[in-house]
Amino acid sequence: MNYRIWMSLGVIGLIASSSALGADMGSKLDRQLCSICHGPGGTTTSELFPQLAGEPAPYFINQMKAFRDKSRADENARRFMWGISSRLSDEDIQQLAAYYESQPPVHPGKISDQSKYELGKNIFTNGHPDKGVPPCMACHGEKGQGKETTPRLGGQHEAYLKRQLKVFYGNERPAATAMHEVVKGLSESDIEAIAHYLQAQ
Amino acid sequence: MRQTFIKILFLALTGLYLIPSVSFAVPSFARQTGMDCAACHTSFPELTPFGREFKLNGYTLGERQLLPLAAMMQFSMTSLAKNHDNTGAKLMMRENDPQFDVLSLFAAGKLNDHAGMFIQWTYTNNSEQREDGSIRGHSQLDNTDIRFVVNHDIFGKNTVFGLNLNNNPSAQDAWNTTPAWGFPFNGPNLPIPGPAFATVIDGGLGQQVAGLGGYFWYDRHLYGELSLYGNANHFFRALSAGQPWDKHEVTRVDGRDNPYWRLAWNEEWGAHSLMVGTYGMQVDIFPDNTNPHGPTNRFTDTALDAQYQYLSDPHIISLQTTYIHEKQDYKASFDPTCSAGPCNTHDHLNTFKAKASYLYDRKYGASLAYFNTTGSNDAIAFSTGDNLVTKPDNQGYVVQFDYNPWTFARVSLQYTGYTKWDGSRQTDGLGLKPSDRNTLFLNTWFAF
Repeated sequence: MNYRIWMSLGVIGLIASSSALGADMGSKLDRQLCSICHGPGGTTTSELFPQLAGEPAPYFINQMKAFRDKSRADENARRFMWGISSRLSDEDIQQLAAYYESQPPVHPGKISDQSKYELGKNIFTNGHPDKGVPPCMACHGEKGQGKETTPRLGGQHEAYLKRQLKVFYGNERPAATAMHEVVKGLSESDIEAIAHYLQAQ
Repeated sequence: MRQTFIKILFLALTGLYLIPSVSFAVPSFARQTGMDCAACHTSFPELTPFGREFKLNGYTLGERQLLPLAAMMQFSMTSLAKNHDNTGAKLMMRENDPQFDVLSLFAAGKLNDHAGMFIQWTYTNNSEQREDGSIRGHSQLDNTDIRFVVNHDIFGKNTVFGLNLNNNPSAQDAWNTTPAWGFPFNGPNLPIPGPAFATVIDGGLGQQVAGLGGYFWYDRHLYGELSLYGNANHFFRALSAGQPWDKHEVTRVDGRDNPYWRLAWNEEWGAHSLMVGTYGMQVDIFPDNTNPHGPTNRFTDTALDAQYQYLSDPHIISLQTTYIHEKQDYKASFDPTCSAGPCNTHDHLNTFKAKASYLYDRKYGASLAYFNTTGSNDAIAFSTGDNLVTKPDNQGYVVQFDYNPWTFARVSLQYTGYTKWDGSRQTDGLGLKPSDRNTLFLNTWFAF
């Protein structure tokens, strides 16, 4: 063990300065940094932090850059992500995005309220045509798996989904122009229902 | 002259506080990482899992600051249940009198990608009472923790290896169960007598020793550490700056190889974080501070500790407990006639502490704590001169309510009740019952 410590003391400096960290930079950053909150491989059971496993890379990249330039400013973004993202280069972000996109998403959610679930499913599948709310699945995919710059919602924490949908009532995520329109037609109980449906996908 | 200087310093720092862009926690850490205090602290100084990670990684996350400086101030008011003994002498000056108590300055932050520091200097405005009854202030180096770390994969798991230099056993620890960062996080800053006896690891060596050690932090699960302590003199003298060396009141420790150990298992799942661990120390102390030569007494502390945190929005729950057993071997100063030294060859102390906190929306907090120390009967080792039962026993509770208007500021009301004081539940030689020592402490604390 001692030998290893001294070896690493000598070698690490060289490795760190060479910056030739190669393709597994994403998994390395995940282990050393992101997993503290988001769990290993981007899967966590803490409702404070979103699941990242299986997140489409373009969406992930956009969000990281929005944290870095401070344009995404919801409370936890300010608390945690502004600081973390400030140290990441474009290349780090690319590597992380590719890593998380390749991780298998988890589906730990359970249905605890069937009527809420059905209401959520209805809004997700059909929208609220009379209130100008389009079906969520039109952009987020049939199972909420996300695509390109549209995030994965299926299997996400209920508390996180609710918090973010409510963020769209305000203007702390200005890049999400479509969502600002969508939430105008959603009541708080609609949001609860959608979140309950999606966490169980 | 000094008064004026302090006033100016005070005004300058208050001005700094009013500048809105100034940031938080050990605020220089917040400036370095760009994160809010809330990322690392539930309610300072208690650490979240992320805060532990930041500390164990040597404070290296983030951008190095040109001047990694921060400050902390406390204002408070203290009340005693009974502020005079049976001779009519006051136990405490400035009772019910709002005081500017404490000013700390921190040099805390990243040095480079592999090294970081936490250095605290503290000025206590009401440090001690002079013979004539007036009170004088005092400044000294406070907890200090300097680290060098590397990350290395062991069996495919990320492992942090670190070297550490500190001046208070357990100041380097990342959990709030061990003495240096345990509850209560602050208390009356006026010179009032506290319980006289505690284990040596429980603050007995703070800022008087220098410890140099190594640790590993494997896969965020297993923490192990071994450090060796000696007096912070000679080369390490700076680590005990402000200690009463000139009055020979510094505890004199033999050698530089007094071991401190720590082993902890940490588990995080979802919003939950659990740690179960052990720590301890063996230290050889000269019986006479003025003559650090010859035979020594040996103090061996063995402790168990556990911490549970539940962190969600808006509820945070945090529980800490520790049990410390101390064996005191008075091989150097034992006196069978019970006059010049301890009456027993061996004495012991057992300390148990437990605390539960609830924090709502990171703003409103309530904590309840219990403490209990018991030990041998020794008419010399555990005599204060005023206690009628010569045991080290003390027992009591703390009830505290906090309001954090911002994450860098706190107003708290703390009530400490004693059910046993310096050996007994009964009235002592000063005519005071344990409950006469009960203390109410109103405190404002902020950092910038």
